[in-house]
Amino acid sequence: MVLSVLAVLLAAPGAGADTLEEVRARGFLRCGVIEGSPGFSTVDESGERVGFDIDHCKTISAAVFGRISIRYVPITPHTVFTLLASGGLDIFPGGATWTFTRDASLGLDFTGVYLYAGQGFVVRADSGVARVEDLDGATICIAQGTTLEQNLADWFDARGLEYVALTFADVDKGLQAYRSRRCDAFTNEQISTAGRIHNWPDRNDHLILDQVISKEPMAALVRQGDARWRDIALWSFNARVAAEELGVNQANVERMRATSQDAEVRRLLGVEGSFGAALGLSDDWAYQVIRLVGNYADLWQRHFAPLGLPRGLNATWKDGGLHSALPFR
Amino acid sequence: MTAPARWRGARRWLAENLFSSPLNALITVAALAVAVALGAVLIEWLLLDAHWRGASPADCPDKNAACWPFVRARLDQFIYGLYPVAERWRLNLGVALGLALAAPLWFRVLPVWYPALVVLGWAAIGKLLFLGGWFGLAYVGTADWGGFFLTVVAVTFVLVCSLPLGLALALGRRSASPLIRTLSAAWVEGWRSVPVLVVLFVAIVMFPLFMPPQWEIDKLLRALLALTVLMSAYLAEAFRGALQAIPTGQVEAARALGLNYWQTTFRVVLPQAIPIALPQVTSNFIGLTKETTVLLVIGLYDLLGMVQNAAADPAWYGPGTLATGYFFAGAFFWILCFSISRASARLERRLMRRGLNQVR
Amino acid sequence: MANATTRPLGQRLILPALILAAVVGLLWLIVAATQANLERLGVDPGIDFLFRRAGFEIGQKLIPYSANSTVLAAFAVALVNTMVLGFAAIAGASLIGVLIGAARLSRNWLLARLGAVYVETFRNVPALLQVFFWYYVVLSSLPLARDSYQWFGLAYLNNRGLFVPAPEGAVSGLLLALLAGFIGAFALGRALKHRREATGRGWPAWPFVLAVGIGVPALVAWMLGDALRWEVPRLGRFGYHGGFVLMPEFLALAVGLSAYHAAYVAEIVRSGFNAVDRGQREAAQALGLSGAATFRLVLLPQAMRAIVPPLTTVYLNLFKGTSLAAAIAYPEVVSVMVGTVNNLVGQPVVIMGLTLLVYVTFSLAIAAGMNWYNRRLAVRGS
Repeated sequence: MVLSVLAVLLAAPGAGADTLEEVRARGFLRCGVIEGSPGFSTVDESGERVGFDIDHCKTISAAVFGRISIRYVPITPHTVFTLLASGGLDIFPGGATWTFTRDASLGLDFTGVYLYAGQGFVVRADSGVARVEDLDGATICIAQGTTLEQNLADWFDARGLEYVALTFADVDKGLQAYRSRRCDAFTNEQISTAGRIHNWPDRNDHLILDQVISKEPMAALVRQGDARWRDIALWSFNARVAAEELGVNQANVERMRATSQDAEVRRLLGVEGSFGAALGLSDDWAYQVIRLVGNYADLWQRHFAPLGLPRGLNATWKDGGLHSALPFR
Repeated sequence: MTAPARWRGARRWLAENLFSSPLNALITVAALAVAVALGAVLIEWLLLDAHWRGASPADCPDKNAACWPFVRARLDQFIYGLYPVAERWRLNLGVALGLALAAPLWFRVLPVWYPALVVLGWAAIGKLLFLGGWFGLAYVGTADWGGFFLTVVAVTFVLVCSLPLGLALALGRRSASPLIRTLSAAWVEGWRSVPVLVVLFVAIVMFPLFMPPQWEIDKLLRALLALTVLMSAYLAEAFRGALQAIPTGQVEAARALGLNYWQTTFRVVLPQAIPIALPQVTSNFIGLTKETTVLLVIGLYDLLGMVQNAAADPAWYGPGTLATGYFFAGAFFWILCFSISRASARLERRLMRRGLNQVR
Repeated sequence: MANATTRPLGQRLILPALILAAVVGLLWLIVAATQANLERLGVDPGIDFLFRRAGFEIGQKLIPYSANSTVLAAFAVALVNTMVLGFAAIAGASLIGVLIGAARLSRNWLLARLGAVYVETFRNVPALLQVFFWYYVVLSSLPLARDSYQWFGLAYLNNRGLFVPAPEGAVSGLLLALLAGFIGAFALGRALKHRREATGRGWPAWPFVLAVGIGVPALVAWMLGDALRWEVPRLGRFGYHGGFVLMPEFLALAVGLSAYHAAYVAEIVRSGFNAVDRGQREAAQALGLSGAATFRLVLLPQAMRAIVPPLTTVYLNLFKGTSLAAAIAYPEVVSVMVGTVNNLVGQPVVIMGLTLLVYVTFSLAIAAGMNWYNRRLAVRGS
């Protein structure tokens, strides 16, 4: 009898388990967030969580429930992979670079690139450093728990340059050390660094180098082995890019839904065809996403534009960027 | 007539204690110089050069001076963490209720069912008031717990859980069964040889691996269980030492009177052993209070963690701010730890009297 | 154990059997769950990763290492860093602790008070807070490289650490000479002491011991000549480089942990001497022993026997406390293995096991060493 109890306990909701049903039955989405990352995930004055990553959580919730029903689980880079794989989270939207090793060996699935980022550097404007190569011999602060440490070592190694690494447990500690002049430069994902130093009173004394030393295509993560749940995450994100390409945004979504004659818009917003049932969602799921969260441009305007960040690679392909919506047909 | 006499007494005291020999006089002067220099630096930085007024970053123009407006502005956060402002009354009420519940223990030694009731009451307060989600109270997840409140919760939880466990382990190490002895010894020695930080990492990073996936255990709870496990090992050592101090004659006499093992243990041995163990238990208790700061490394922000976080705010950022925050936190912990040791000394005296009375 | 003789065997076995069943069941549950979880994660527990290229840099490397070394080499670097920090802090805590303990025992009222203030201040404030204080407040307000404090153009102190000259070239020769000098001085000291004890005549040992201990390495250094150079720190584009660097992270931890644990050492020293019976001192003086001789021959040996066991506990706590380095950026075992390596290779079980093993091993080693010393004291003292 003991054995049968154990067998039941050990029968994990891993392969074959239906995350969508679980989330529905539970009534809320468990979304992993890294806290205190301006632009991505912070708490505003009224105590609400806001940010690009938070909007990813909301996107999935909107698609599944047609409303925002989320329990945020604060995580650290140390814990996220284990927690996700063991079923403690339904999705981790933020900050994971899509690499071969992670995709192949972590037991997790990536759900489409939502942000084209890169590893950049911040230096003091008066240090005379204009290119990364100028940092030969410098002390560089960096945070653990990501691909960043290896990128840095590989890049300097390949050019025969030297540096002293100072490795901190989290990004804020590293940045704080840089600010107190413990290091000559701080390296991290470029957009997130820009977000973090944006409100420094002495922001103008610091320079974010244009150069990036790595490609960091960011994608949300779900547990491996639940194809439908992965599709839901992938297509929810994709719907926001599709909406931008089709000219549908949070402000005009009601009007577009009522009046648009464009067949793809009508399919996207669930007016025509049945594009929800196959995912186990209602047909207007993408409409709910745009209504409650917005399209990609809305997200950018809300979170990154105030930090002074240009869209760059993150524009749609029509504007010379890399985002290209998968077609709804 | 008394004043000159006292004056003469003071002179004699000075001569004996401070200036008994040239070397002693030299030491006195040097020590005085060190004390005055340190005191002057502290007073100058903490009081004279410090910024006092206001509660905004602009009130601390000198980034190196002590910045009390910082403490004033963030005091609520230091105490309550990120607990929603509108719900903070629940913490005040809960702590007040908890203290009221435990107060009778302070004045009288009550039978064992009463402490058990207190613990149950505390658990109910934690669940119903702090966590909420019942009777229209909003649910506040442990992710938002922090500051001094978290220190209090952590210390209380760990102490309440590890005291019985530690006692059982100490008895286990004196058990007649080699198996129980070995297991208890392995548990105690094993946990005592590893750092608290690593155990916390195991609890946070690896616990999900050890458990069946649907067993979801809250992060704070995992950390507190890890501290409990460690603490149980330390307390077991404290109790073991005290048990060894009880003369075997006591046990033999009890046995001769026909008491069984449990009666002997609970009626004769423990009432004598616990007062003996108390100083050791207290020093572990103080150690635990200080140790809770390590929780900040795994992202649970206690008082020190909140200070650290608040000082990293770009608006406040500066060495003076940070130092003031540390000074505040340090003073807070100092008072806390010092009061615990004083309170325990009082309890010790009382238990000692009672233990002796009972044996008589 | 009291009831062992009175209850029947079967009854006595019930509780142990239940406990055994519970322990085995729990262990089995954990092992099974871990296996199932690892399988789902696609992780195959193994130690292959130790021999792969590490691919990351480490800020303080006392043995040769680069990003192209293996993970095992990174582990070794971290281990050396842990040991260096541990022993530096143990030495510091002992030194400060003995001084403060002596101050507390002093008959000078003011000095004793100051000692008490030190003890009460430092042991009632969390160690982590003290480390943070040294790191974020004291050391980060040191001057920038170009305004360093300097000594004779050889050593520099700034917010990047303490830079001192380092030997270069025939370093192993110098190390061997230091070792030889140490062993030679030790042996000579013992021999002279024995002779003096045997014959009652002879010279005091210390000038000879000092001469050998310093003379031999100095002679060797002179003989090595150009083969041994001293690399002096130079000011470059990004502060000083070259020479030997003590990182601020190391300094903060070493000072913070020393100061904190010194309070405990001081209390142990004090109660150790207080435990020596007052009559012993009086008896020694009655025998005509001088103050110094009374201390060295009568008080110290007896006090040491009361001091060593609790001191062992302090040393163990201190060594475990080095893991606080993970909170600031000193690359010791926890920081490198649990922080960096675990995130790169995703082998939590092996990595945590290895980390715990490091501490268990060191704890056992320190305890064994101190027990050996304690036994020697007991034998000699009796």
